[in-house]
Formats: sequence, structure tokens, C-alpha cells
Amino acid sequence: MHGYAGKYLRINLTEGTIKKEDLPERWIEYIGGTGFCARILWDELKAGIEPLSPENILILATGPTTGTLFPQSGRYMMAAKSPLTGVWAEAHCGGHLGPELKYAGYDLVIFEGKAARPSYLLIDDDRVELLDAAEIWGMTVNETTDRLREKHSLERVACIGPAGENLVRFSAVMTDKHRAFGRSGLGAVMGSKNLKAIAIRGTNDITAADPKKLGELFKESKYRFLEGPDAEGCLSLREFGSAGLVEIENEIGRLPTRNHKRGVFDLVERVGSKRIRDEFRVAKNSCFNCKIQCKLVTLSKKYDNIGEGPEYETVVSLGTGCLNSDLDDLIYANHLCNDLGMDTISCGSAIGFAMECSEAGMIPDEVKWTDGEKVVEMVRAIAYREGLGDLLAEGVKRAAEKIGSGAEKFAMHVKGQEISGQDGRAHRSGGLTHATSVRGADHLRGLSVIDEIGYPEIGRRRYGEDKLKDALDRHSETFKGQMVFDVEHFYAVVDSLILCKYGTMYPLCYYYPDIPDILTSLTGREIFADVDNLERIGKRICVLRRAFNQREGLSRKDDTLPDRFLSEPEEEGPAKGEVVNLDVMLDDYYRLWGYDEDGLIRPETLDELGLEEVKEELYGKK
Amino acid sequence: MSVFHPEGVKHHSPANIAGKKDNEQLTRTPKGCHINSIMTTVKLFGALRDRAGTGKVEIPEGVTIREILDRLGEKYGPPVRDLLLEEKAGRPVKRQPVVILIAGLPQLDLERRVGPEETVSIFPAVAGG
Repeated sequence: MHGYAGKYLRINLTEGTIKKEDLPERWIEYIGGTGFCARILWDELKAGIEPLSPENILILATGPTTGTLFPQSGRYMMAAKSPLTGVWAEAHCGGHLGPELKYAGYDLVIFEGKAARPSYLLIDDDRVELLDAAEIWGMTVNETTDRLREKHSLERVACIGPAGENLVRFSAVMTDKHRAFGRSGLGAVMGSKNLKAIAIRGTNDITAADPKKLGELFKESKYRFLEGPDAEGCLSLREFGSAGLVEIENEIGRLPTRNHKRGVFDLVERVGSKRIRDEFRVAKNSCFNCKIQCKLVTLSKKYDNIGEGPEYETVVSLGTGCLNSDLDDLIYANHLCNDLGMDTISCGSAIGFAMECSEAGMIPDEVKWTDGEKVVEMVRAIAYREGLGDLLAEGVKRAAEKIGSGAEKFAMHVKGQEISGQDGRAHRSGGLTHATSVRGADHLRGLSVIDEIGYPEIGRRRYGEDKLKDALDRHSETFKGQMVFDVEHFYAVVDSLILCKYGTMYPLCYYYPDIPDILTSLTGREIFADVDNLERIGKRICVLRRAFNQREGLSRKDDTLPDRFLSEPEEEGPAKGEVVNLDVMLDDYYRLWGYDEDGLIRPETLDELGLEEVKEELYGKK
Repeated sequence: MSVFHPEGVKHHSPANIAGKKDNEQLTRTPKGCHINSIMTTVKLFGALRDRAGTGKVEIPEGVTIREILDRLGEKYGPPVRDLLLEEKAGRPVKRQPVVILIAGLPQLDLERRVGPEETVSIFPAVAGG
């Protein structure tokens, strides 16, 4: 089978059984990655199951580009029902584990049930075994990875740290020590299954249907990334990492500061990308077959620790969101999140929430703004569920409910997931995607970048001159439903191939017209040869994921934003005085997607996308 | 109206007196004229800042955005000029991946004059999160 490995693993942890199955055509119609997971989780999970129970299913998935010559193909993903939000969870990761899985001969792995004792999965080409993890249970991510690498003479390890073992609701699964399946608590799902790690070695090939064409696409990619108009953007990412956004977002008033109260940070130069690069970067790193190579290796001098990062999101969550301008503390807190296995966004957001609650006298603990050492201390406390950390480990939504006293107004989340480094008051379409993303507050399912900073050439090409003004106005609700709708189904295709968002979200090196060549050169399948059909597949994946959430009881009432964005005007900067008028954008967004005014998928929308069985389950047979 | 600074004449500004490299000036005054310009700030980011060797430049208020790009190219040479400008139909135009903001909003009209107390931010395009 070209492009795909052609097989998958189904691991029943309760029974200790391992099955190798052929990859079904029914899944291939959804391309791969998030498409596979949408189909599987809809079919195999029942509504209402407890995410930390053995009934949850955890999937590790690749796509047809993973591990191949096509660039930006070092991405892979996991999905399950989230213990943080109770709805759809997916998290993507970059590195080398996904390619290794395909070389071992598998496109995805499905984990069911719960092991009787701590276990880990070893995949060594045809040899697949569930092994005792007693020795490594309790170890940090670095310790676990080193031990398994040594024990099995292999490189690629995915594992949880103490946070996942302690069922921290936003704990992550880590790969290659520093890379995260970060969001939505997949680390806790793995911990709830007594599954500590997945260690992989693969030595097989992946074949392409048209290797000559694939080779041409590979050669041509050099122009797209390194020689053409997007070269500076790519090289900027290579030099500064995603942290290059810090200073820029501050310029547009969209750098979340003080628990998303403000969008401008006075001390931005102290935590910006220039200082990170000049004073803390000691090396660079990259994912498999990446043209951009955006990873920074950093040394925390104060704590004498080397790790990767920080990304832009982490500078926000552990830095500006906590008014923490001590870059050394910030970098070490990032290293610690990785080593203990936690999502830096949710973790930092929880600490910022605690700082605001402490200031308001809602909690007895003293957690002060600006205190970088306290940030480090709280990261550890959350991972080990000690003191206040135990409360924060539940996520800000649950923590606020427990604290009471109006703490809910400081809990910056959507559907229970903490808000990432965007602010709808300064970037309306960013607010819309936060409100509507299937995994809760999330920028990676639907962030529109044309209006983020202002890309008139691309805006003009996509929408024409008459729509350009509305498309570029990031402070206006007009046309933003269209822009989020458009990128959402495109990113669903991207997340199914799986390609990195660097190259598809920004810089905009590849778009729909490029995808048929990529997929047909790899797979040879005619269903992927037509752009209209690819768009339809992307829409089908989005609607299927939304159906998953609708089956759990979600509707328009859950597509919302914190009051801070809806009714507290931005205090300073370019977005001063702005709030988000979400309803206007939601109405437009729902209309485009074929949802009713309550955000429920219209039956005819499901018919049009070939999801009749989903319609029957949601609305009954007629 | 361009303002010229003859060679060898020092322009006394807080930045020059402090001797800080991070705040340079792009001024030219006509010979014999006193310097009495209100200065506004051009902020440079990312690779642009690296190539210019500075993150802030002061310019007289009232120049156009096009004039700012021209002067940056003149002052800092090809490493900066090639990033900002390209030849199209025989004249230099702003390159696509360069973003220019004033008060955080993108500027598409290069003939726009910079007003008093406005700050211009210029950087190679970035986005995302």
C-alpha cells in the first residue's frame, strides 16, 4: 500500500492482547491523522463515558505523508476523549516518533482498557510486546526516555511523566524528551490506563505511488521555503523559533498579559525572542524532514539545565500571563513542564489564574504576580498535586468552581480548556476560533493569519479586492466567520496528511491546490486527486468531530468566551476599548457550516457530507 | 520635504549623547538650516533588526512610509534593502513578506505620511501562535 504502512495495532490493555489489522479503506477515505481518529472515536466511543475510565480509547496516529520525503512531515498525533473538557481531544506533536511508527509497519495504534499494572508498549518492527513498567513508573520524562533507550537500544520513546501518572487533567504525552502532545490532558488518559510509555524501532520502507513526482515536489519545496517570497518568514522561524511572535504580538496589542487581562506587556524585551536567542539559546533542533527547523535548545543558567523552548505560547503562559519577566525562571519552568509532562499553556494559565485569585483574596495561598521562582515552584506542585497544586491540576474551570467567591471570572477557558496566546479583543477571528474549536480554546484548528498581522497579497488572492478591507481588519467581526470556516476545513486536511502548520498556516507555502499532487504522488489514490473532494473530506472531518461533541451534549451555549473578552474593554494598546461581539460571528459561522442557530448540525448537512449514520444516531431514524 | 544632515555635523539628541547604538537616526538637514524636527520612532524586528544592527531608528515626522523604506535601504545597505524592497516595473516596491504597522494596524499605502507621535513598526512577516 503506497503512502501508508497498511496496518494498525489494537492493544487491549485489560486483556493484554495485541492485534495487528489491515488498515481499512473506510478509514483511508478520511486520509489519515485526525481523519482516522474522527472516524474511529465516533464509531467506537459511546457518549457519556468517563475519560479517565478504561472505557476511553487512546489513539496514536500518523498520516500518509508522515515519514516520507515530503517536507514538514515529521508530525503525528494522539486523540481520545479529554479529561479536561469531557469532549474531543486531539494533540499533535513534532519530532521523529511518527515516522518510526510507520517504518515499524503501522499507521496507528489504538489503546483500549486499562492494564492491571504499570506497563509500556515496545514496538520493534514485527515484535510488539506489552512489558512491565514498574522500574520506570515514577520517573520523569527524561529519566524514562534514557532508561528505555538504553534498555532496548532504540531512540524513539513517547511517555508520560509524574503529571500523567498523577492524572493532572492537562498532563501531556512527551516524545524525544522535549516534544509534547500537549493539550487536552492526553497524558492523564495514558496514566489512567497504567500505560507509561511507547518505545518504537522501525526499519521498513514506505513506498510512494509516484516516486519521481514526489522527488520533484521535494526539490520544488526548497523554493517555497527557502528561496521564494516566504523565505524570510521561514528563516525568521529558524532563527527565533515561534518565540519570534512575542515582540510582534505586543505591537498589535495581542500579547496576553496578566491572565489575559491585557494585550501589552511593558517588559516585553526582557522575555522576547532576541534575548532568548542572544542569551539563552545554545543550539538548534528540528523535526524529521523539516525545511524550517524552528526548535531552540536553551540553557537555564540559574538552574543549570538544558532543554528545548520556549515556544511563543510558553512565553505567554509562564511569562507575560503571570507578569513574569525573569526569562531564566521562565525557561526553566518550561523545561520542568516538559520533564514532568504537562501542557505549558494550561499549566501557566492555571498559575496566572491562581495569581489573580490570590490578589483578590479568594485563596489563602500567596501566589504573587511577577514571581518567576513561584512559577517554577507551582509547576512542580501541580505535577505532584501538592497543596494548591492539587486544586490547579484540575484545570481552571474546576478549580474556580471549587474556590467559588466569583473566581469563575478569572478562569480563562473555553469548554474547560485554558485559553492559548491569543485575545479576541485584538484579533476577532482568533476569538471566534477559540469559541468554536472542537477541543475547547485552541488556535490550531482554525486560526486565521491573513488578518492577524495583515497579509494583503494573500487576502487579495483568496478573497478578492472587494473583501480585502474586511478580511484585513482584525478588530472587526465582519467576514470573520468565512475566514475561520475556510481555514478550519483546510487545517483538517493538513492534520490528516499530517503536515506541520509551519508551511500551511504560516508561512502559507501550501494550500488546497497543492494537496492533490502531494497525496496522489504518495498514495496513487484518485479520491485525493480532486481539490473539491479534498475540501469535502476536510469538511466531513470537521463535522464528524463536532458531532462527537454534540453527542456529548454541546451546543451554542458552549461556543463562548470568558466575560473578560466579551465585556471588559482592552485597557491599552492598539486594541484599547475593544470587546468581542461573538454572536455576530457565530451566526455567520454556523450558517456556513450548516448548523442551526443553536449550533446543532442540520440533518441535511450530514446528508450532504455522506454522514447519514451520524444523522441517525444524533436524530434517530426517520 | 527631505531633511539633510551634512557630513561631520553632529546632531545632538538624547540617543547620541548617551552613545547608544540601539537608537539611531535617519535625518538629513538642508545645508545651513537649523535642525528643529520632531522625531518619531521606527521599530525594527526579527531579521530586519539583526541586519540593521539596531531595533530603533528615529525619523522626522511627516516623511512617507516609502521614504522610510528608502532611507533604511540607503543607510544599512543591501542586507536591509533587499529585505524591504524589490524592483517591479522599474521602480522599487515593498516586498510582500514585509509588514508595516502604525499603532498596530497594517499600512498598505506607502505614500502615507507618518504623523506626530506615531510609531512605525517594520518586520518580516510572522504569524501563528
